[in-house]
Amino acid sequence: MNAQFKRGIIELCVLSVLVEKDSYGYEIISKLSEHLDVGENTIYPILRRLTSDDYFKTYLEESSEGAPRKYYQMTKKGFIYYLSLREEWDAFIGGVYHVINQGGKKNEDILKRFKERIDQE
Amino acid sequence: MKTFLNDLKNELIKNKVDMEEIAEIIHDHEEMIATAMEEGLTEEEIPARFGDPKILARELAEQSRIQSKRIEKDGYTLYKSFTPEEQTLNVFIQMVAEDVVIQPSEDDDIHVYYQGKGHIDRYEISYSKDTLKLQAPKTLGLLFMRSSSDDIDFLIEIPKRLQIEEVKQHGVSSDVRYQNLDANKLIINTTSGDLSIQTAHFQYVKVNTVSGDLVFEDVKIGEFEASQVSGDLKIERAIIEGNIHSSTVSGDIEINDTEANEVEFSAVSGDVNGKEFYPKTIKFKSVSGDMNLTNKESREIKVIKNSSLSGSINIHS
Repeated sequence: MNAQFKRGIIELCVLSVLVEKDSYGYEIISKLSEHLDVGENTIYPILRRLTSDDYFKTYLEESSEGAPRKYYQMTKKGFIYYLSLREEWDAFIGGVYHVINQGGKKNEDILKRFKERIDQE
Repeated sequence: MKTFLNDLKNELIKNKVDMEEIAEIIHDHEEMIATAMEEGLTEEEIPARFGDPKILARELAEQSRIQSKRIEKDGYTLYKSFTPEEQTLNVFIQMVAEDVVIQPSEDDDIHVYYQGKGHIDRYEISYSKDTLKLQAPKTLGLLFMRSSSDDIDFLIEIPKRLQIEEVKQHGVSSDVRYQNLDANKLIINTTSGDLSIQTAHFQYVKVNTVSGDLVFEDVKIGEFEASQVSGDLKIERAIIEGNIHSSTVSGDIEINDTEANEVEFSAVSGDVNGKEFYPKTIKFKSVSGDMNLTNKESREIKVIKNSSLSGSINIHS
């Protein structure tokens, strides 16, 4: 998949985690890596960029285990950005689903129709 | 952990990221990796979670380059530059509340600068063939969430050598300021935005506004048409080669040190005041507005039509 496109999706995922609650770096990374392969699409640069764009701000909080952790918190500007990305994503994915499912969702059916057409030739 | 951090640091140095930033990045990673290992992540799993130090460093370096490359001018930040492909240019601007300044550029490129905290990436800003286009976001869905802190203002610079065919701007409350501009046609539609034109030359000007004020200073204009409701019109030091058509309901008109061919004012209650204003002919139509001209030279000014109900026309010289 196109790297730029993938980065945009990861960005939306990061925003979706932080729209729910403040979170520290590793918590965000491990949440995303439960569901996505994030190794080649690094999350930290996204956190850093969105912070410098004022979409997030950070604060330190003591942890029970050791050194204080840097927490990321979504700003109002970040929330508006999240909504606009979300809206774009929903419209895009809706369009994609519409196109790829126009012949129904079932692979057997698609295969059957395809076979029929190939056999006719 | 040590290896990963050392590799990352070396890669960042290789990519010429500044030391202060490196210290911060390394510190963040120390913290994140420490937390990860407390939660049971092994040394070998680190790159899978945090990325390959080489790729990570390259990405961070690229990002910090973009941020430090910001070019500023009069408090504006450069957004895009275009190299003109043709000798002529059309400018099309569609805004809501954004203020727009147009002035000549110091080099041969078109530059679009912005200021304010709004989402610059949601504006359509493009140049193709001979048209520069600036358009505010179309999505109205989030308009209710707009706050004044989301506002953006623009500064556009156009090379002097380009022949500007037409500048067309639509706005609601956008204020517009154009300086040192030569263009064939200028067309402005706005509701409450003010318009200020300084040192300019147009063949044809047409302005429609409800409550916006219009100011023209040191201009040479072919044909001039202005339609206003309550905004004022002020013309200073102008040469209007053709005619002036100005209609207003309650706005006042002030014209000083100006020559014109034929002038047609139609007003309901607005007054017309002029000093050193020498049109060849005047048509004045008003319900209750007055017209007062005070001129030093006693040149002939023909009053063609005077259909004022309670207002009066006075020409002193």
